[in-house]
Amino acid sequence: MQASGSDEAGFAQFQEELRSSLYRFDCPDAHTLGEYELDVLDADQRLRIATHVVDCEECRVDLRTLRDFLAAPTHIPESIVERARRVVATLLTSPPGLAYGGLRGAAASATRVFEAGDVTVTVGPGSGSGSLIGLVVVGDSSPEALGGRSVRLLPRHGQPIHSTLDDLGNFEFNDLDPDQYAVEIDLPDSIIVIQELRID
Amino acid sequence: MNEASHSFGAYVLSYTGSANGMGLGELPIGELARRCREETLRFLRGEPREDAFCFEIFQRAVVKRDDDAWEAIVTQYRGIVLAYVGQHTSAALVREPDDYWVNRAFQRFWSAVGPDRFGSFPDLPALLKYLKLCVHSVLLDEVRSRRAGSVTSLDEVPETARADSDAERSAVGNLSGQQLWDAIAEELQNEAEEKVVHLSFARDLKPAEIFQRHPHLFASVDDVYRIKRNVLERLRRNANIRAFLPA
Repeated sequence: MQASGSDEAGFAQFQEELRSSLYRFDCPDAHTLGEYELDVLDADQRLRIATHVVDCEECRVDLRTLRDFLAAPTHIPESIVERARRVVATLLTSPPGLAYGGLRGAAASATRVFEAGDVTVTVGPGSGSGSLIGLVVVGDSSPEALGGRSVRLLPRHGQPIHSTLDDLGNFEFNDLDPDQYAVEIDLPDSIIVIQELRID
Repeated sequence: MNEASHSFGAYVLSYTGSANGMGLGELPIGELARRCREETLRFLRGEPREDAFCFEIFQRAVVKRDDDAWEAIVTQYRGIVLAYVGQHTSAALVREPDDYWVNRAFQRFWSAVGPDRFGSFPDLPALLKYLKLCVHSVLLDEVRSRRAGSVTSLDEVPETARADSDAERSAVGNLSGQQLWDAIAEELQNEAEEKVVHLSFARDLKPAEIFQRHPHLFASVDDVYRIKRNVLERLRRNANIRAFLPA
């Protein structure tokens, strides 16, 4: 005998209700299963779940998914890691006569002042040829807080050259080949970038 | 997209000094957060890092239930949790705003790790691994929930229901499911019937999949269909079982 349409609909609905009420009812929730994997459950719970997992293909699949997920290195998009913290400094035209008192030995005529937010970077030639000196000032912060921070000089060709800020915010590079360089200065919240700096 | 791969656990230095002459426990939360941020950036550049500052923030948040410390954790690790979400295979199945998953993952971490459990986490990598587990479990719970057919989108879940803790919802669901199953089990006459009903509804398998798993119990896939139909007709007429189901 053919079942009526309404009877079939009722039959299908009954199946849906059973599925909705019973689906994975006897499985540990995903978090408990995860704690089992990380071995942070007490002995009784651990035994209970181990027993369940032996007979439950779906939980074994969930465990494999979790293991793969935990083992995979985390891909931090560059937008999160880099772009948010790389700040390009802009060149300022400085009023004549401004004292670069903190910049050791630089000739004022050749100095350049860059600004990025409350960070000011003054750079200029050092005493010898192929040398570069600079001074970093961060808002009202004390210069001691800058001591030891990394400064990198990136030539167009070749490897980066590393230096650090001293406890007055100074940095220095010597024996540089003539080239066009970029400068990166690591600060607590950002990397300040000077994109083009010509050393003759 | 240029991506950097990171796995917490490498290049760990141990903090033995002090900042401005203060011990780690005396540092104000703002200074700790600054140092934690700095060390995390250092790590993301592949340089050796010092975990003690970030770990101290977790300790204050979890053990002392310090709200400011918790806020610092959320600020510091939000981007990493977002990356975890994007990386999970289930994220594409349960599309919701990223912030929703980030908030739920942190909420689950907060609920699951109290002062009594903090000692189970010896270092920062262990804490971050647990945070990653929280991302996995909130996503997988949602996948299970949707597969059961209870909701199609979180937008359809009433605010009052969302306020219930995940654990509470899960416990209630398991309890009623177990009671229903006990009532059903009384009506089943043999192992074949039990497998058919259990795998059909508790595991959502098709008759062909059930036959594949237990070929010794059934003559054919059609046999599975026949048994399923007969049992369901019987269960449908059972008032005791219907009482467990929505009217």
